[in-house]
Amino acid sequence: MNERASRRWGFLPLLRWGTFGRSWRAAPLVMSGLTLFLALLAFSWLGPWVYPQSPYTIHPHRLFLAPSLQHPLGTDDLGRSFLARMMYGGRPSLGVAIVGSILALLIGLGYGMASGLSPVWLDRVFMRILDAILALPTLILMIFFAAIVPLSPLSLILLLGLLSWPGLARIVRNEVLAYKERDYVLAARQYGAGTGYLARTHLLRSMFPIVIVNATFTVADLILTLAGLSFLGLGIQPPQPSWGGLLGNGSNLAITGSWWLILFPGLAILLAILSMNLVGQGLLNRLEGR
Amino acid sequence: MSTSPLLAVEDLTVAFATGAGGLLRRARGSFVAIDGVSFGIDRGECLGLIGESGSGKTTLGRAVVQLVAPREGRICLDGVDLTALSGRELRPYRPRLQIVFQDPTESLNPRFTIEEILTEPLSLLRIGNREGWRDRAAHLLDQVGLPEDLLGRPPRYYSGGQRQRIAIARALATEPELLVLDEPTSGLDVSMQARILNLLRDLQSRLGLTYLFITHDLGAVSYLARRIAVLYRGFLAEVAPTRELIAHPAHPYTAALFAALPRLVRGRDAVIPSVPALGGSWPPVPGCPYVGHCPRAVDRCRTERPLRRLLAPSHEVACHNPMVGPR
Repeated sequence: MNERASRRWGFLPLLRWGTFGRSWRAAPLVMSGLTLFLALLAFSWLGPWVYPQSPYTIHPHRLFLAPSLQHPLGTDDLGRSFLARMMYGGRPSLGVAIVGSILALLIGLGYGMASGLSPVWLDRVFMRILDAILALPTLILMIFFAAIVPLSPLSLILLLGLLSWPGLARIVRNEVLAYKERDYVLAARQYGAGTGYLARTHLLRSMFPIVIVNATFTVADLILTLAGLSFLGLGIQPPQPSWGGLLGNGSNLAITGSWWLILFPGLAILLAILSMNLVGQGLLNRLEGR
Repeated sequence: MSTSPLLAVEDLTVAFATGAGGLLRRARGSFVAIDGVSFGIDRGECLGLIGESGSGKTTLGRAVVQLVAPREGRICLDGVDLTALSGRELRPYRPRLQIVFQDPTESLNPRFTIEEILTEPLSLLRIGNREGWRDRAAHLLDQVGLPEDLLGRPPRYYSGGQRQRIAIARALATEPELLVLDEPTSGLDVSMQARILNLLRDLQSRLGLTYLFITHDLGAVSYLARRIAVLYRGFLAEVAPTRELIAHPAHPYTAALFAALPRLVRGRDAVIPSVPALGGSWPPVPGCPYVGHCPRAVDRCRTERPLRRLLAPSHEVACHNPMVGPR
């Protein structure tokens, strides 16, 4: 099954252990991006097992301590361990972006497929609606919704997912148009293939690489957007930590000279976005044969 | 024409809308790709269909296998008019007619394995059971002279000739009676062309297949086809047995087509230039579609569309002033 699936999905063999070394040489960008992203995931989800400190416990006698052996990333304005807060802060930052992207991908696939496979006039209606949605400034819309919806990781997933699918939908629709008149699709139609079958097999498989590339970029986008919202206080709500929120808090406290409260969340956000962009760009390069 | 041909095409007209129709606008005009074409193919026969690029050959082939909906006319398989059937009613007839496309790179999905390609028709038409499909796929490869160990890989591992054999194997998957061959050799080099033609001839005699062989290659068509139909701008100019057509082309266009063949031996060269085929219009204009380029045009050709008439046994031509008289 594993071998069969990897053959079907082109570039995925690089996920197999046996080809690990070969994959590094064949796709250094993808592999370094993946490694970096997995490291960030491990930091956020497995880190607290190695460093079992509560991110919420307040220690009034050790405020603003600089990084040291005892407090690897220092402490914040309430004396909480900043390493623990960074670890727990990664969970919503990465989790919301990943799940939100999957949601956006599913909506985009459905909408794009429906549009591309519709008769021309209906396709145009779909596309005009899409243009209208794309014309709305996403961040302003998010700020609007964030102000009226109770904020939790779940509502943020829905918000981000429901607002970031139009780009993917357009790509999917264009791919459908590019592939739906191919001879192999005609051949399948000649065997009585229905539209649903064509969408699930021929079209989905043909567009899979380009869709995955763009889904990867969407994850990067959402990490940034969520960080931006949290920075503005409209994302993950304190006391639950998130990288964007920590960064916002740190910048308010810049006057105290606690550089670690700004550097580490900023670095984490940067690395997360960088890793996803490396994966996306690497896959794109492979697709285009560069 | 025999009394009960396997395939009978009657007054077939296929047109495509042209000009971009808007959200509320209707498409402006239409382009007539096939214009009142009639012919029949007997069981076990191979009918060659020749014509230059843009003459509507491919459209005609696709209309026969119900990939293009005709505007008018009937396409009958064993006396049943396929154009009148709904998608569901058509299902039992689909296995009986299959098509081999020109370019196997295009007609085989690069993301499928050979096994998936060969079993797709079986699963879509619900033929046999899943356990038997792999054996069937192996048997199909054997039929076209390929080893069974090709099954696990995608088409990009194989050469153009091998891919075309795979495409032929897929068309045979449903045990069809009629195979539409849409220029199956034109993407291949000469030696591979000969091998594919031999394979097709061999399959025809072994499996009792009926072919509609579409090509612009006069050599290939005379090798495989007993009878040839000449298509010009979607208009059937002449139908005759292969030898008869080559020896006595009656339509000036057929003669021009033969004259355009490069010759190895210097012979009597006809100076009839062939012209690019442009579209017809709808409703059809009166007169012969070839009149603008025909050296033998008479006044009648401009006003009256020539009807097909019999010149010799099974030699039909649609021309007011044919190159050879009735015999």
